[in-house]
Amino acid sequence: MAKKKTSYRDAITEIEETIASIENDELDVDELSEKVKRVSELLVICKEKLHNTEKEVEKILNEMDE
Amino acid sequence: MSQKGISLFQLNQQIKNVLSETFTSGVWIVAEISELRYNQNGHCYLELVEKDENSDQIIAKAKATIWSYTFRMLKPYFETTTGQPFSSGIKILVNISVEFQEIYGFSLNIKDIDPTYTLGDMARRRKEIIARLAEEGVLEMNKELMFPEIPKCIAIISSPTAAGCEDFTNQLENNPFGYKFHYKLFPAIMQGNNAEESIIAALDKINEYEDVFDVAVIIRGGGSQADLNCFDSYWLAFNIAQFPMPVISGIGHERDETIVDLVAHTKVKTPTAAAEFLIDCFDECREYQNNLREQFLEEVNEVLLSSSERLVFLTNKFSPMVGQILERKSSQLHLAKQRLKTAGKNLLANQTHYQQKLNSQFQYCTERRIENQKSLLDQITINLRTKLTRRLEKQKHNISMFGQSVKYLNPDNVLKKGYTLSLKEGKIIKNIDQLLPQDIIETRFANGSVESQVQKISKKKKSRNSKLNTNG
Repeated sequence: MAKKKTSYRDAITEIEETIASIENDELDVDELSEKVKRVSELLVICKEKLHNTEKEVEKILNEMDE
Repeated sequence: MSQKGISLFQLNQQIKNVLSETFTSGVWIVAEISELRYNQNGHCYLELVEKDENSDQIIAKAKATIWSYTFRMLKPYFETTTGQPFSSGIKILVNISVEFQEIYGFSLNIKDIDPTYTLGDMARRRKEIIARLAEEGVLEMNKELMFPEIPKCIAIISSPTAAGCEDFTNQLENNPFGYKFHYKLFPAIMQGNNAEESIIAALDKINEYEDVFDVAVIIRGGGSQADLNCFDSYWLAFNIAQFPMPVISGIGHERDETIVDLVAHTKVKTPTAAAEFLIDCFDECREYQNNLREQFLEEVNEVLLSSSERLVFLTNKFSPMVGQILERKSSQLHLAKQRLKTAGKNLLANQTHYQQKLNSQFQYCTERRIENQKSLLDQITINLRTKLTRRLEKQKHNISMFGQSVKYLNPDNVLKKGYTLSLKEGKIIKNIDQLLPQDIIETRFANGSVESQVQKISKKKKSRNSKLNTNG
């Protein structure tokens, strides 16, 4: 759980850093397509965090009944 | 055991009389409203209680009424003065008359109210608790916790039967963007004297799963307003303030905030509002994600745009340069072409000249050679003619010599000299062995021939000369 929390933060931070690096002209055009791919992946992870059921958590919650 | 006894009615009448004699005029009393309702006629029915200050246990209780003509004036007076609804859960100072009716029993009839007491009491109690919490340094503790970006896993403290609990989960489940929440109900008693203990027990249970849950919500919907008093409890507030995860209170009331509301990380009015608040957190994350996405795309576009602009710039700069180079090179090429043409022409002329020279040399040589050969041939011809003539003459001489010889060798001439030829069956006989006795032979002479028969054959001894002679 703790790991997942940080992974969302990590993903957001990585996106923010990527944007900053482009803003500061630190990113080469050659790296751009790779970054675009990476950021889309990260955005999917972030979106999933909002919309997906986490099976592991569901399991823990169900086991609490016993 | 034959006591006569009095009737219940008589008893009640006696009580009534005693009471009316004792309480001849109105009495100011302090009490807490625990329940309050109106009927259609506008009369107000209340339940008044008094609690032990330390244990919070109810130590006195009485029914009370406010008749509608009083209530019509009393209610607005109270509410405008205190700024809060005249409702259960508040302590009041009221002027009452003690009533007793044979059927309905004991009750108090409220004639007047002093709102300033309520104000003071509430403020004092709250102040006391808040001051204590502050002194202990826990008042702001829950508020200081970082609220999770995505409050996905939610521990609910509520009564399982409360409508508010269902409102809350329904709201979460049916959020318009399809966010997924995990939640778990930790049932607790949400009203009355047992509420404090029950809620603290639920908090303790949630605390065991501190890693699983992001937030805890305390929700409650409906029920008597008087029961809200448990949310002003010091111990409950003490627990909530120090809870390791943010607590959202959605207790559902209209009065000023309870102490629980005060110490909770976030306070909302109703369970539905609590759910909306959580959904809003998700919305914010979603919006932030969208913003990041757009910002990122914008940045990428900008990079691409500036790259392409740079490309255009370079192209514009490059094209004329290329043009210039091409022009220069083409003029160089033209020059080289001209030079090549001239050089070619010269070369051709030289070669033609040289060829002519060669030609004339060749012709001269050839002619001279022919001359030589011709004179050589002439000499050979002369030599040949001389030799041939000499040879021819020699041959002529030889031939005449041969002719002489041949003349001598003619058989006719031989025959004329007396030699004969003997033939058998037309063939010349050169050997005596060809003949047998009785053979017919022909003997030729120069001037005729005779046929004769062989009588005798006498062979000569071998001698070359004689044989030659016979043949001749």
